[in-house]
Amino acid sequence: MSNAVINVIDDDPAVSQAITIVAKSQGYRVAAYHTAEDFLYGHDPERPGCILLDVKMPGLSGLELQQMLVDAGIRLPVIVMSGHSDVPMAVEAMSRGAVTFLEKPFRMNVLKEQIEKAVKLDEELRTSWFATRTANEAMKRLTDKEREVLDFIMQEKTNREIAEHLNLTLRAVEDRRSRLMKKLGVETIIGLAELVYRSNSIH
Amino acid sequence: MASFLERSVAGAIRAVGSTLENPNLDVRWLQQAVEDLQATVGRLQESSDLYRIVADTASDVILSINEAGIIQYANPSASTLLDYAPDELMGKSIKHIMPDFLRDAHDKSFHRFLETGQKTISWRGIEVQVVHKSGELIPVEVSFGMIQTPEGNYRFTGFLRDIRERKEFEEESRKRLAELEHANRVKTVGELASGLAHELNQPLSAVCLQADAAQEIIKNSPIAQAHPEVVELLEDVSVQSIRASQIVKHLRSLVSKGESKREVVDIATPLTSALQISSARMRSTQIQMNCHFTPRLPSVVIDQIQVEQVILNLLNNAIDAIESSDSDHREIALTTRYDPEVKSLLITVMDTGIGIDEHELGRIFDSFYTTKSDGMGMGLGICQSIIHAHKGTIGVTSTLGVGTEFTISLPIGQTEDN
Repeated sequence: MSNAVINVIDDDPAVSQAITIVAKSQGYRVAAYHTAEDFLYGHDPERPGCILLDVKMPGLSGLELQQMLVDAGIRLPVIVMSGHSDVPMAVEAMSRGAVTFLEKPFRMNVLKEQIEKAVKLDEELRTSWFATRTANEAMKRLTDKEREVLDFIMQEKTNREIAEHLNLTLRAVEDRRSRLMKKLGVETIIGLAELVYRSNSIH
Repeated sequence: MASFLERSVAGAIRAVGSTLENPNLDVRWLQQAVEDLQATVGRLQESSDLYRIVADTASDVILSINEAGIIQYANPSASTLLDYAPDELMGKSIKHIMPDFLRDAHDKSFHRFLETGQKTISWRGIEVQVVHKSGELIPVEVSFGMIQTPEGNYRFTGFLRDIRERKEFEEESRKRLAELEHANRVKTVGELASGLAHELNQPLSAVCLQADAAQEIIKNSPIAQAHPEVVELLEDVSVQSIRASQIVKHLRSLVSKGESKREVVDIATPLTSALQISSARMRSTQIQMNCHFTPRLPSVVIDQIQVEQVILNLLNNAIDAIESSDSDHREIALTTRYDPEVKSLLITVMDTGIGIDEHELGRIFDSFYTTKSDGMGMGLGICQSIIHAHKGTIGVTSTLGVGTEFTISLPIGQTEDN
């Protein structure tokens, strides 16, 4: 069974129950909340998964919650649902980063697809985030001198050119080069480039 | 005036009498009395002339009758209203211009009044009908008056006002009001539906997901093997729940104008879509679906969803019609073709169902008209509105016990500017 938790935030008990049944049949755990506040206070931020959110709910509206999630840095993918089929609302939901906007009523296969998509997206985001963090930490381990050489390598300079630029011997450059690759844990130039790209990515 | 006359006459007679008895009396007194009498008669004449002018020029018909109900006087307007010259009416019974069905009532209340002095009807402004020389009935408003002659006899006057024009206005107003109320009702229903849309979509959501989940569970189980139609039925539950929400959604879009999206479309697209939605129901009711789509038809500019909704409505009605009939022939045919004479696409939906009575045919597009005991009757009215909004037409022919055919005509080449 997947580690992901599908968070269903809908104040209609029949809908909530039906979505729960569907998500469980896909092999996911489900946490159902009646209100946005309940979710904010009750959810486990460590668990991967996604959020299914109805926009018209008493108290905090779904769209307001969506904004709060963004503000709080909660990056679980959000599927916004509505019984209202309101085009402006859908546009707003999407512009706040919803994975998709589902008009009620919708078929089970549509729901399953979107849940899969959201969970997968969450996995990718997490992987990516971890990769970035790892890369950043690795980069921090480099000394300034190693950093210098790395920058030149990234500019596609040959060892010889680097030696000229830094007024070093070719041997010294080769040494630094192999040391920094070892520190960063990469074996190829491609691996190196990937890591550098990772560490530069904004998250 | 009459008493003045009486006094003057009485005075003159006294004067003559006294003079005859007393020849030494001053003749001037007699002269004065006679002059007074002349003056009085003159004024009387004037007054009589004045009233006569009033009666003659009144646009209302003025009649007077005696106690026997015989017309003593009719003013010239009688010929305008009733086409009788006044002298044609005078001497005839008032019943001559009364419709048959009013004569008894007239007799009763007339005699009642003569005997007891009690009025059984209002004498001011009652609506009755009178009979034109041609036999035509004319609605009039009547007011009565009564005088007593010096001999003690009664004369009754009636003032008849032609209210045909007023009645026309009233009828027109009534129709307008009914139309307005109807429009209001439809609009209110539309608004109601709009408000309910969100509420309805919640349980519809649950129904749809639950039916799908049940279908999933049952699909590969022994139950499905023993009863394969269960899977179909569950599928139809989901399909119908989606349809229900779309109906409400499009009710809304009809009420709030300007939300429909027109685009250049191959007519086969919305038709195929509608067919797909209703296919499950057709299979489960063992109805044969025959399609004849003419290839390479010109495109039309339509709101695809609306047209799909119309066809879906017609298909569902067709299924209902077949379900209501006992016939073994269970077929629905959907065809498209182009009619160059009217430069329109023709779509026909034919069924071999129970048919529609010819007397009902004219009403089936009325809002709220339904033959289904639990139907809201909004479907065909909305379909017609949609088609008319596309500058098309929708018509129907039907034979009881044989079947029904709806024909939709959509003009091609309509642009947004039209």
